[in-house]
Parts: sequence; structure tokens; C-alpha cells
Amino acid sequence: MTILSRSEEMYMVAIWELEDEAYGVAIRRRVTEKTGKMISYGALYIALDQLLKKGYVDKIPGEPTAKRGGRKKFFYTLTDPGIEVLKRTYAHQKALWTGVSGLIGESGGQ
Amino acid sequence: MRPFLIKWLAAVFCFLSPAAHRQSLLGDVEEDLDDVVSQRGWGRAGFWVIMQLFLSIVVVLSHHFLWSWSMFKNYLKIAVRNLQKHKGYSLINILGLSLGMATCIFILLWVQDELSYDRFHANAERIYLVESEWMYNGELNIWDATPAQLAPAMEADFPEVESAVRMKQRYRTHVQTGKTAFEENDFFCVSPSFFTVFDDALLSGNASTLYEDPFTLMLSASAAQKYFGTTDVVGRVLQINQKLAFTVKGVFANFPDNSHLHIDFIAPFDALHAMGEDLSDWGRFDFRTYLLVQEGLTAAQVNAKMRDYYQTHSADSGTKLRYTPLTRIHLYSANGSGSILYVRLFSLIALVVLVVACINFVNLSTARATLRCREVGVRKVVGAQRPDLIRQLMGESLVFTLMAFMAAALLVLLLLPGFNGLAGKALTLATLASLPILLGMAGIVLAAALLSGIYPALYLSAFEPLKTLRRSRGSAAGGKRLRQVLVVIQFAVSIALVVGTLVIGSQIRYIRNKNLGFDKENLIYVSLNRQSRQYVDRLKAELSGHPAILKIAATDQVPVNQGNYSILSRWDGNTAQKRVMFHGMSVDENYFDLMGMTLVEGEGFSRERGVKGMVVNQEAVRQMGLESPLGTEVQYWRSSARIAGVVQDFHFKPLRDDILPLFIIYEPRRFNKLIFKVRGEAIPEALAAMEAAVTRVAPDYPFAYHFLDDRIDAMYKAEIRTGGILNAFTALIILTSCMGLFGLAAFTAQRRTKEIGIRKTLGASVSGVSLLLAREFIVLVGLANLAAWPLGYVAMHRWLQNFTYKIDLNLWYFAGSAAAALLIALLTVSLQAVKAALANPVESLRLE
Repeated sequence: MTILSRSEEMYMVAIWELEDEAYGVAIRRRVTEKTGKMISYGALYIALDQLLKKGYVDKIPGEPTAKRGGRKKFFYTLTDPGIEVLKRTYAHQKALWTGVSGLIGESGGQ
Repeated sequence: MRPFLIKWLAAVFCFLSPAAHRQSLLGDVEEDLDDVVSQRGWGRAGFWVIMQLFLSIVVVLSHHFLWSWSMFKNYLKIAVRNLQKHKGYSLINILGLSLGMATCIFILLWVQDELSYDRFHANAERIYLVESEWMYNGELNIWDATPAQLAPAMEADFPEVESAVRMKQRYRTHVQTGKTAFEENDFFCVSPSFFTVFDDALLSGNASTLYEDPFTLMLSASAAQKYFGTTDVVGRVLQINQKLAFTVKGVFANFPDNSHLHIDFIAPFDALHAMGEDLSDWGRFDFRTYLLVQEGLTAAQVNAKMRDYYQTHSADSGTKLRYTPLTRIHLYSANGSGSILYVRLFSLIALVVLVVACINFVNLSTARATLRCREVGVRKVVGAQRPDLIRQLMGESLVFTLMAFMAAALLVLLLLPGFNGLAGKALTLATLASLPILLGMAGIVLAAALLSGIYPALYLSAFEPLKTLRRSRGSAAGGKRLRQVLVVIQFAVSIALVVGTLVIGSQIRYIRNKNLGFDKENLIYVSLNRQSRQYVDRLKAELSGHPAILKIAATDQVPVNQGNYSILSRWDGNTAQKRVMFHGMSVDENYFDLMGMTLVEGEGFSRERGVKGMVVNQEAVRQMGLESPLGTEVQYWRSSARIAGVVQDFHFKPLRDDILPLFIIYEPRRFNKLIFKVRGEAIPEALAAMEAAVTRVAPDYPFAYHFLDDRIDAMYKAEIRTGGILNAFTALIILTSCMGLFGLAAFTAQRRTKEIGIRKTLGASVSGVSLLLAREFIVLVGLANLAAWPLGYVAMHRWLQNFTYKIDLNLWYFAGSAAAALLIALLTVSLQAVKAALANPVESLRLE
């Protein structure tokens, strides 16, 4: 049973949340906001490349815009196996934390 | 900045990112950068870009190394072991590379400083200096002087000109407060637009208050310190030229070293009226004009549009205006102090030095390839692919290069003061730590690693494992031809540079020792000031009896850089309406005798006969086309005189120039210098007597004297400096080349140990064996000469074209360089050769 690594999880959640607007700038911004960590484009695209190769995400070309120096936008969406593995990761995580108390307050890991 | 930044980023990201994502990645970066810029400005955006790059590189590298970390550790271990096992080679490699890199860094610093001139003004890209040019005798003359009326007229006539600055530099302005008095050259009267066109760093005061009253001043911080001992000087008063009281209105920061303008005093332009200057004359080229033009105009457009503007105000049709962008004044303008030629030359040398140092690395690595071919073979047998091996070997060269870089950085820190002295710069650690320099140094390291690593890596990784493992020793022939070619290149460069230093050295010696047409030994001149100028006769009388002083004369100019010229066209018999450019000077009756000049016709000045006449030089007679010059009446300035004598030509300009026509008159009111011929062994006494006499008649002025031969040498400062820098670089390159040769010779000797042993048992002599080993390299150095001579000849021939008076390029310079190179190479090689030849054959044959 494969589950995602922490950074893969981070990016996949962001792609899911952004729905139709999941392209490089937005993804990086979302992840940075959520984690408070400066993520570089180099890191982002290496991760996206890995996810593509594993078949968890798909890449859809968009229209070129002037703001990007005439370059195309590429949108990312989760594939069915991607959604599957993300769900599994969440379940795994939830199972892991269920019943744990005293570490970060009574609610335990929310 | 923006397109450059994007392009730069693009290149790096492209290199880093997986190919499939390049388009979207670059688009993302550009889009995000836009936002960062609009929210936080360019400064923060630059920081953002650098952070992005840095983090990306770290991630990408660690990603690549993730699966090969253990391999990487192994590579590193092997690199370190190799380094330790062959300490000698490693040392030669690293030292040679670090010398090359240190030279490169120095040149980088120098070039960066030269290129940084005047760029600190916010409007630097839009500011132009107006220069006037005219043809004379088929030669183009360019002056940075224009009429005073030009600036306001251009501001009114051209909508493209947003603002025009006019200024006048007042040389030798006497500035005084209480007992502190100096003559200042960096005294400028500027129009109000100065403060809007140029960036002023006012420390106190307000520029607008400067123009409420003509008798006001702004001081540089250093001038304020000099006169008042503090920079809190607003409201204090300075006496200017002992007549006018100027109130200090503010203090500005000193102009940086990399500014073509150096200003210590700023007075309002209106003060010139009060100083009695004529500002209305369109024929008086005595002022500097700077323009601030509209955004978007190129230098070519500005020049095309305003080139002939002067004619609209003057009948003189020969004078054109040219517009030099502020950032090009230092390096490209005829009136700038730098030269783009030297920037290019030194950049080229930096590259050559780096290449020569890298050649050592390539040579030693390929020569020693045989020692490593078994490692390569084993690695391949165990499953290493060629790219893995290339990565390993490149990594090794990177390790070497980084070590060399550290040594180079240390060298640079140690030698920086010496370099500053040599190059006449004031570079500090702060300059070293600036972004372009750091990037440049990173570039040097990468270039060196690549240059020196790529060939050995490709060469070694191509070995076939079967061959390398089967044979006990690999073939040494591999790469030999390349090594020979590279050694030839190294020495060709070295020899060409030796030719250069020899020629430049002897040209400098030649101009310093050339007979200038007068005797420059033991001549001291004292500049007279406003006060002492009135007492020329009294000073002469007082000092003429002194035992240390042999002769005294008064004049208004001294060789060897006389200015002050005018074009004369009216003399008796000038029916052809010739126009001749004359230099003019004024001397007294003792001048010719004191300077040791010969009058070829007529006579000089004498008080008894009256001093109405004029003396001209032979060149003047030639250009005027006079058969019998004596008695010809010549009109000059606002008066006229008959030619009474002809003086033999002497050099009153630097030897770069021809001797020009000169007329000499006797006009005591122009005298402002006293020249003394002193007894060589009693110079201190003579100086003491001069100082006592001059300060007695002019107590308010500082006493200033110069040795004439020092002044003459100062004319050749640029040449002397270039010669010095070139000497240092040549020494470095030769040293680096020799290091490589030394390593190669050591290696050859080692490889041929057995051969030498056998030869010796068969009866070869020590000298015979030494020769055998040395011969190979001597032939290479000989070949290098063939390449170096034409190169050296062409380069030096061109350099000498700068001089009218120059040495001949004879064979000796080339033969001398060749001999020097051969000798050095022979010494380097024979050290190893003799050592190998002396070895006891029993020892060498017992091996294995």
C-alpha cells in the first residue's frame, strides 16, 4: 500500500484545492502560504515532474498570456490513481493520530 | 535591468529544470517576478530572484545526488586519495591554477572598476557631455570645452534637451580662511541645473540657497575638513582669490573615485560675473556643457540631431559638436582618463592566463592518465557508465579548482595593496564583495573547472576496460600530440608577452632619455602665485647670488606639456593665406641660456636691445614657408612683433606628438614661473633659499616647486603603469607555464626510468641522457617562437604607432625573448633531466 511523502502530499493537496486554477505560480503560492516555507520553482517542478511520472497528476496546456512573456500556462489536475493515493494517505494519517493525546492538546492532531 | 535579469534566470532555470517543464516554469517565474516587482520594487525583486535560484540549485543538486550519494562519497574519497598520493603534481596543479585565477580576479576587479565610472548617477544613461571638434592639418581635435551660451541656447531650442548644465572649472583658485590657504584646481562654478541633472549627495544645506546670492559656496566633505577641521561649516566664510568673501551654504559628500568629475568647491555660475569673466562670447570655448536628454533617445540620435548646432550661432563652419554619453566619457572620450583599449587588452590577458593555467591541468591529467586507466577499467567492469565516469572526473577537477580558488582568494587579499599601487586604484574588500565581482569569480571557477576538466574526463572515460586491464602499463602515447600543442601555445603566449614587455620597457626608457632639445637635469621650477608674480625681478635679484643656484629665468610655461595655442594667419608675405596653429609662450632673457637651447638664426631677448621681438622655432619657419624669417612681422593675440631669432626645435609636448610651431615673446606680465638651474649636490640649500624668498614676498600662499624631469616623467604615467602591469602579468604567465613544464618533465623522467637505466648500463653519459630528456621540450619551445614572433611583432608595431618618436622593432627583442624562454625552459626541464640521469641504474632497473 503506497502512501505519499510529505512534500508530495503538500503539492497534491494544493492542486486539489485550487481546482481549475492549479498552475505553477498558484501552487507555489498556496504551498508557501500554508507551510510558511519559501519554496523555490526548482523544487516545485522537480516534485511536479515526479508526480507526473508516477501518474498521480496530469498536465493540461492552457492559453499563452502576455504577462508570461507569451508562454503557455500549464494546469495540473489529479488523476484517479492520484486521488486514490491522496485519500489513502489521509486515512493513514488519521489512523496514525487517532487516540493520541497529550502531545498537542486534547483534540489530538487536528 | 529587467530583460537582462529574465534572460539570465531563463538560462539558469533551463539548465536546471527537467526539459518537459521549461516552458511553464519560465512563464511562472516571469509572472511571479512581475508581481514581486510591482509590490516590492526592483531591489527586493533582485533578492527574490537570487533566493529562488539559490534554493533551486540546492534542491536540484540534492535531487540528483539523492540516489548517487554513496557513489559521490566514493568519488570524493578517491579524489582526496589521489591528491595525497601525488602531492607534487597536486601542488603544481593547484598552485598553477590559483596563480592564474588570482590574476584573473585582479583583472576582473580592475575592469569592473574601469567600467563602473559615472554609473552611480540616477540619470547616467541620459546625460551627455558636449565636446567640440574641428579638423586641423588633417587631424581631428576634440575638446571638452564649449561656449558659455551653449547650454541655455540648447535648452531653449531643443525640446529633447530636458535640462542643460554649464560649468566652469577655475584652476588655481586661491582659497583662504585665516592662516589656512591653498590653491585649488577642483573649484567649479555651476548652473542650478547641476543639482537636478547629477545626483548630489548633500550632507547639509540646500542647493537652492546657493543661488540666492552669487557669493556662496558648497564644499566637499574633505574640503570642509581641510579648511575648518569639521564638516559643520554652514555659514562660515572663505576668502576667494583674496578679494571676495564667499559664504558656505552646504556640504556635499566627496565625489567617488570612479567619477570623471572631481569637485571640491561648487559656486553659483553667476559668481563668474563677479570674477570678471566674459560669458557672452560664442567664440570662447572655456566652459563645460552637459545635457540631460529625454528618455528613449540613443547617442546616435542625439549626435545626428544636434551635431551642427554651433553653426546657428557662429560663422565658424568648421566646428562641430559631439555628444558623449556620461558613462562613456572615462573609457571612450578623447578627454577621458581611461582607455577601452586597455580594458580589452587586459580582459584578453585574463582569459589567456586562465587558459594557460588550465592547460597545465589538462597536460598533467592526460599525461598521468595511464596511472589511472586501471581505476577506470575496474569501474567500468563493475558497471560504471561513461557519464558516471565523466561526472566523477569533472567533479575531481571541480575539487581541484575550488582548492585553487581558495588559494587564489588568499593571494588576492594579500596582494591587493600592491596591486592598487601598481594600477593606481583604491580597491578595497568592499569592492571585492560586490555582486558582479562575486558572480565573476564564480564564473572564473566554473570556467576553470570546465576548461581543465572536460578534456581529461572525456579522454579517460573513453578507455576500453579490456585493454587497460590486460596491459600492465597503459600507453603513454595517448594525448601526447595534444600535450605538445598545448605546451607550444603556452610558450608562444609567454614569448609574445616577453617581446611586449621588452619593447614597452625600452620605448619608455627611450622617451625618458631622448634628447628633448634642452637640458632637463637639475631644473627646478617654482609656480608663482597672484601675489609673488609682481615680484619676479626682486626674486631674481635676491636669489641670483646664491651659491647653490646657477641660473634663473622667468616664463609662463614649462615643457613638456604646454597648452595655450592659437591659430595665426597674418604675417608679412602670407599671400597664400596659410593658417598655422601655434603654441605661444613668454620667456625672459635668460631662458634660452638656462635651458641649453640653441638659436640657429638671429638672437634671443636682451634687455639692452629692448624686447620687442619674437623668437620662433624651426618648425614654425617650415610651416609658414619662410625663406628668411628674420624681420618678418607676425600678428599674434592682440599685438604684433618681428621675428628676431629662430630657436632649434625642442620638445614642448609629450613625445607621442610631433614638434609643433611655437612662438616665444617677452611679456613680463605673463610670467608666472621661475625656473632655476641648481647645483646638483646642493638641491636642499637651493630649495630652502627659494622658499625663504618666495614666502617673504607672498606670505599668504603656499610655496610650490617641481623638478622638471619629474614632470616630464609624469607625462608618461599611463605608459609606465601599463608597462608595470604587463611586467607582472608576464612574470605570472611564465611562472605558470614553467610549472606545467616542470610537472611534465618530472613525469617523463619518471616514465623513462628504466630506459635511462638501460642506456646508462650501455654506456650513455649523464650529459647525453640529460639532453635526451630535455630535447623534446626544447624543440617545443623553439616551435613556440615561430608562433610568438609574428604575434609580438604585429601587436608591438601597432602599439608603437601611438608615438611619433619611437624605437625600431629590431630582431634583438625577438631573439632576446626566445633566448630567455629557452633558458627558462631548459632550467626547468634540466632540473628533472639531470636528476634522472644521475640516478644509479641499479636502482632503476631493480624496480619490478
